[in-house]
Amino acid sequence: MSGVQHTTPTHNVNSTGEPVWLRRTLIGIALVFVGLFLILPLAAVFTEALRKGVDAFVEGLKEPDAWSAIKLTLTITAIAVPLNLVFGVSAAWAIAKFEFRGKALLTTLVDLPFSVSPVVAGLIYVLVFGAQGWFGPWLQAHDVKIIFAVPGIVLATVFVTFPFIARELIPLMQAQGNEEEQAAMVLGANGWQIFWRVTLPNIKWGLLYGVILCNARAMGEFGAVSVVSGHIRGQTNTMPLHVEILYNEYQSVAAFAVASLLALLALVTLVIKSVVEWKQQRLMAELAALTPERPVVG
Amino acid sequence: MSIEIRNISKQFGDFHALRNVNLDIASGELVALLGPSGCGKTTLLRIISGLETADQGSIAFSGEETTHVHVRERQVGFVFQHYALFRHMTVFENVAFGLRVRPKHTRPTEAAIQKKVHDLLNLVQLDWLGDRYPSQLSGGQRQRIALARALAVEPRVLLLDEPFGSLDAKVRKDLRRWLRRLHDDLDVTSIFVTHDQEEALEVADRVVLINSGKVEQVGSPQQVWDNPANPFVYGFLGDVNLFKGRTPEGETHTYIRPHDLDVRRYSPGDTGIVARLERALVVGSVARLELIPNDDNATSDVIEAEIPANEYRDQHYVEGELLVLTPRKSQVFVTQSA
Repeated sequence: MSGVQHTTPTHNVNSTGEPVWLRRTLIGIALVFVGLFLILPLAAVFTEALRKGVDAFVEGLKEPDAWSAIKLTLTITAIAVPLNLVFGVSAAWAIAKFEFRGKALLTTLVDLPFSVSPVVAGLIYVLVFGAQGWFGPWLQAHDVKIIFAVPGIVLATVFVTFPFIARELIPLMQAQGNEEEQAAMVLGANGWQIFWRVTLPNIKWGLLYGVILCNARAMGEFGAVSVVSGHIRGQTNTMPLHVEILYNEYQSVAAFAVASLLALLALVTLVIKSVVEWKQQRLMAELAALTPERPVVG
Repeated sequence: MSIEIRNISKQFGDFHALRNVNLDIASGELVALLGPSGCGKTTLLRIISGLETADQGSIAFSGEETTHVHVRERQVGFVFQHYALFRHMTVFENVAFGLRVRPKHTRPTEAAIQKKVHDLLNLVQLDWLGDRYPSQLSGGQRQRIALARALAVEPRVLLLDEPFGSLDAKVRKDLRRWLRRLHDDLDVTSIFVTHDQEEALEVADRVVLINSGKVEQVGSPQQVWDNPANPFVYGFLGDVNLFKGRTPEGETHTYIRPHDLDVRRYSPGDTGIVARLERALVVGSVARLELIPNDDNATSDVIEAEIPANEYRDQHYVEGELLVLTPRKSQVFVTQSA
């Protein structure tokens, strides 16, 4: 816009009053931090994985135990994430839309897996379902294996990743209130229709982000799974466990090869998250530009 | 569709929102529930709709017991104070919602839904906004869409919760008139909640005054204005001057409306209320006078009087002058001494 006069000197101070050199210093420090603790290790993983060339990289991944570890991780995640999707959405729905006795307790329980050490989480399941555990004798009598088998790993993973989806949704749903749901109810919609047509579209971005986080953590979980898995090669080894085994056996290229897959997952998660955020911001900006005074853009 | 409300009571914890409310609403009426914030009017509206359940009492629609019918079966239309439009759906889909969620055997065809929605959008004069999202509409437009959405399912009763509360004064006035005309065309029994007495008196067929969970008076706007049943109604509707006194029977409260006071310049020997003109404000065709009684035993501090602006100008009253006021009409309530 021509003809606009700036009357305050803005050449070295921005709108919040801090000098440019301070801004640059702080950003510089943040970048150094990110560089040292995030980018350098990630770069190191890929460098080490490809140290002996691409062929060795692929061999490391095709090795039967490595391959079954990859398959197991994908299986566990494919079970744990949908389960937590259902649990998370249900818990968030109950906490955000209803008043009931014990609501504060449920909210605290949702955060419990965050405050418990993953090793302790795994140990809990061993104590309950293990051979000497509470249900041990019953399980042995019915020939059901939970600990040192896939079900135990699923349980431990579900526990550890439970809060991600719920915590993402609860503040979102609370902020949105339940007036739209009430309106839908008065118009004759039943519970499922209200959820599917009104609630779900309103929370879809928060839900997607929660699922992405849950997925990343489910694939990368080490501590809890380590306790319950028994480390049986080819059967109960997930990718993170397999990386540990390979590294302990001085097969560093293979170890880094498998680790690089997990690192790749982290990068993919980051990209998806950025795309989701960018899309949301663009949506918001479009809607903000279309005020009632300017019903059409352009 | 008439509504019979019998002995409705509702408590929230220790707070009594409604106490033994009885009300009859005739078919096709437009009724206003009027009262101060927290008086229970919204709670009553929500109980009629089914969004809340009463602790005691019953609701009947045209004689049919409705107290325990779920809200989605009651076929009522509800317009929320903040519209509650579905933010991720277009205006068209918002209005079509009630028709789309019908069970398969009662759901209209797609063509029928299209026609109905367009008819409704035309009714509220917003057909050109069909593809917009609620966030792209102004407050007044959102309100009309919320109304169209409620009407789409052809409700037996239309309930509106402070429908014009969050709108500009000019928009409010226009929508008030528009709602009145719409009601006359549609002839649906309608109940709206408001704390704005001007709105209630201007729009409704009958006004129900509610205070602290109890019905204080029911009547046409003219009736409740001319014959207020008690001090609350008198004080709530319009401005009023209150004079307290004492008689052998007990304490008296005398209510006089500002426009029921005759104003003259004071000369010694005049009978009436002698007061000093503190401030005068000429607004349109009316002069609002603020007066302080010239009496040390005065039991009211500021007296408000209203006279035609022409009279004020002709008389050339000056601030600080002594004037004498004579009431043309007043109402006295006596509180019996124990």
